[in-house]
Amino acid sequence: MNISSSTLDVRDLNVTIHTPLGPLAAVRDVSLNVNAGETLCIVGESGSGKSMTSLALMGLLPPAATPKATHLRFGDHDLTAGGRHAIEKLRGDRIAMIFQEPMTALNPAWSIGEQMVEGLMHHKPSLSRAQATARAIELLDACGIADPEPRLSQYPHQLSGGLRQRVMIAMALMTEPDLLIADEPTTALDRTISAQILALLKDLQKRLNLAIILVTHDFDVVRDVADRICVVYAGQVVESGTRAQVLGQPAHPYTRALLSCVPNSDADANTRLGFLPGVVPSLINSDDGCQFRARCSLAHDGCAQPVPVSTEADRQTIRCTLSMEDINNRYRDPVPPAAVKAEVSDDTQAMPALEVKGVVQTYEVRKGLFGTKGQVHALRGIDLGVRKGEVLGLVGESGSGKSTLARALLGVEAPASGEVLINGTPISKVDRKRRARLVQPVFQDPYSSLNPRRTVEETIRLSLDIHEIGTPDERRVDVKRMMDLCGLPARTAANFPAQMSGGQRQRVAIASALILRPEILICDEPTSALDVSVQAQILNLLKDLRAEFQLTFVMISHDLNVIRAMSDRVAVMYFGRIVEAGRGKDLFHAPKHPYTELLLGKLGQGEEPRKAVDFPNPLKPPQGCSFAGRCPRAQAKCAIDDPRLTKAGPQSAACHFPT
Amino acid sequence: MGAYFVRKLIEAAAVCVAVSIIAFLLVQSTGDLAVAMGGLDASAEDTARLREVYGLDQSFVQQYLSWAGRVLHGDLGQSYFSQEDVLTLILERLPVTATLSVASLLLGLLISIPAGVYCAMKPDGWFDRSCLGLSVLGQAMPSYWVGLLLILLFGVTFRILPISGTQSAASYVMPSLTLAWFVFPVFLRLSRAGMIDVLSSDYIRTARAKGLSERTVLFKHALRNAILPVVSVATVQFGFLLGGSIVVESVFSLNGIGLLAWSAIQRSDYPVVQAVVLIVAIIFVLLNVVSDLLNAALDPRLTSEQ
Ligand SMILES: Nc1ncnc2c1ncn2[C@@H]1O[C@H](COP(=O)(O)OP(=O)(O)OP(=O)(O)O)[C@@H](O)[C@H]1O
Ligand code: SF4
Ligand code: SF4
Ligand SMILES: [Mg+2]
Repeated sequence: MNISSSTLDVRDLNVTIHTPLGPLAAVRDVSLNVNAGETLCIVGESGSGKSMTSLALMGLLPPAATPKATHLRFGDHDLTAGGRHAIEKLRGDRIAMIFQEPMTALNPAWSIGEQMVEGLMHHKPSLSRAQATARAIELLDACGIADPEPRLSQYPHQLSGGLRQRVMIAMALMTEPDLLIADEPTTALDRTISAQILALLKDLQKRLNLAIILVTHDFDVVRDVADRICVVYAGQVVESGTRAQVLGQPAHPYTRALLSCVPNSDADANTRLGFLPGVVPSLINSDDGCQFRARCSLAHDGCAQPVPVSTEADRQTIRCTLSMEDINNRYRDPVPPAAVKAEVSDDTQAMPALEVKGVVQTYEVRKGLFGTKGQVHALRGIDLGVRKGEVLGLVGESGSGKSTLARALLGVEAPASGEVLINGTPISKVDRKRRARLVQPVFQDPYSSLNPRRTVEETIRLSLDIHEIGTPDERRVDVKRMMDLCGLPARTAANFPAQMSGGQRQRVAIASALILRPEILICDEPTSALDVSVQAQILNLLKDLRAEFQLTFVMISHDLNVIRAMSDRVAVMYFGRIVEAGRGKDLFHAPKHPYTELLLGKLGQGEEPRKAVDFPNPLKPPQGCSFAGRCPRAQAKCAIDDPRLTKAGPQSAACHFPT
Repeated sequence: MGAYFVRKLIEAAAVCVAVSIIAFLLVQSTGDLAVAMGGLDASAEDTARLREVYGLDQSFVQQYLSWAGRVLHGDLGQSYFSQEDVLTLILERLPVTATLSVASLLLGLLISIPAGVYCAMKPDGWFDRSCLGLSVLGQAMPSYWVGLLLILLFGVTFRILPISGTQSAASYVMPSLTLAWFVFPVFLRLSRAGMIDVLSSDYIRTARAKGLSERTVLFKHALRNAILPVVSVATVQFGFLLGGSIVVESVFSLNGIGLLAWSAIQRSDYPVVQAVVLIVAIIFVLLNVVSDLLNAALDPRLTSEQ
């Protein structure tokens, strides 16, 4: 590769953050380069320094952070000597950036149009506002926004997350930059929307010969878009190479271990996932040795010394004391996938542990004082049965009604009509205390669902205290046992949530949900706030606990890999309905509903979803099939006739024309 | 925007009615009015006659409705003390208090918002620390004390400002400063906190990523969002300023509403007290409408359709 042709070439970038506890080496000796028309993915777990690297490249580091690089070139500009200020001149003009949170990244007080043109007009003062506006319209159109002109006078809160991210991308491209840095651009979006945004980025890249640095923790994204990949761990690039090299033949022990944690298409309800034990070390006052050595199965004495970077001909670059050959010969996955027993009763006639009959949920909304009252149709007739010991996976994009259904299952919100039965008894007839001993929830965000002023022990014990179960001594013993089962070291008993990692907090949440020994656990996105390696640990924990307590599970997630790895049966939700349901094996192997196929990326050639991405209006459900607006297979019948869930092969689907 | 405005006005009207009921009850609850009016040595018949004349023998609701009807026609009753028309008494003095309150509010805002912004740019810097120190002082020192201090300094020692009365604009300088000193801490903290919050927000990062100048980032993107809470609180503070004027007007002998209310309370001149309560409350409600509209103009989320 001809280095001088790179759009950006950085060598030995270091970012040190001054903290009260000492210097924190957030980025160390990171070298990267990216060429025009190429996508470089920086992938790593939370806290690995991905954001700090991209912010340093933009000159947007927080004041406490100091960057340093031995070599920094952008196109023909040598910025090494100029430091922070040199790069500031290019920022927003030659280098643009988009961020993770489309919901908060736009200023709520200014219109889309104003926010789009101001950057361009700042960098090209000779342009008139009309010219800048024309460019904005052109770019919004290129970013797949139908009828862009009226959007310019709208405000961010009037757009959905997917639209906002398109606006962000269009905005970043206003000045025709050479390099686009995207920090987790699709992490906050639904899978289908995320796929569209990534496809859009790829398309724009081809047309504009754009260099893209894409920062992510998601290997699905990497697989989709990367040309080259840098894997970072604890601030260091541990492995870099082409996509085929890094994903096809990962060399570094960390990359291999991390990839073994990603649930893949082999995963199912009866196997534990492979996982990587341990946690990322603190970066404060860290030494020069390999940061991965505490978790590396190949670590040896030499690993405490500074680690050289090595490349072999036609292979990737790794940072390890061992040669690739040595690693190849000796590496074993830290904890490979293994079978786990799971007992589901085969008796299809037996009473389901949890049954949902015709559940409809609507919410009244009103716009302004004299605005029309309307009803949001959140659930539009759900029927489900979960057998004892079974895991039912519920999957669907945001707004499809997953969490509304979860609230109905927990009995915390009565449906507008229909009922939820537990072991044959309507949940509405079960009093609160009894209910708490039958079903318990585990939520997405372990940060906000725990009381910050209760210790771990108190949090887990709380339900026992409320229900006055056992003597204080018995309670203490039980809490200890539950902590042990949930992988919480006894020394953390007196910790407050703020002193725990995300994964540990989720363990606390699970332990406190299980302390009453409920029969059913409703998990609403239990791992979507966690990193892959932590996710694997938590999913395995849930699998073990399922066997230990014969639990019945409802597992809600937008992540198909998680659903596949956990569920015996799967129900796919779209717009308040179940559009396909069946055994996980059948459904993932041969989906019947076009929406499931879309989610699984299994739509046939020429069956790309239509451009109209918007969900139907929940205030006014369409008369026919609610998926018709996006369905590549829609026919005249679909617009008039609402399909019902009927048998389609081994599973059932709500579609007139199942595959 | 139209529907929003109408909603705010209806809310305001409802609050005004509630306030009028409270003002009415306030006086009713002070004891038997006939006795109060007649004085301690009035005979039982005299009191009974007073009762009849003033309609005090009617039901509460009837009394309230006829009182409210009179109020709507600008008849706020007569002062027990001077027999003057209450509305006239108030209208004579309102300009003084209004000038004082508005001047001190503007003064407070003009000093504290720029100061707050500057503090937020370098939190924990020397300027920030001194401002915070000052605002702690501001809250610790009662306004009459500050007023007296100012009188001593500028009125007595340097003799550059009049120490009482309303003869010229200069007479308002010290009273306004005194009251501004009183609101300074609140506005300073709010604009500082708002600005610190906004400066760490994602959209400011976006604005910086566009390469905009720091001035544009600060004034176009940050300030507008940061002062939203200041606008809401400014009206509440204005209400406090009207209240605070009671003290300041007596310290500087300004003949405003505050002084009027103060002497009326001392003399148990209920119609005057009632009218002041009512009028100040209505001004307060109107100010809230103004602040809602200002907020709406600054924050498009409040009015535009989803
Ligand atoms: N303002 C700050 N002050 C102190 N430390 C910080 C600050 N911002 C980040 N860090 C630390 O710097 C390190 C790298 O953080 P960075 O945000 O780059 O990680 P990341 O890889 O982007 O993680 P994520 O996937 O969670 O976004 C972490 O240890 C983090 O705790
Ligand atoms: S340097 Fe040592 S500890 Fe680090 S990855 Fe290589 S073998 Fe493992
Ligand atoms: S019913 Fe028609 S529109 Fe709906 S999913 Fe099936 S084919 Fe598509
Ligand atoms: Mg990050």
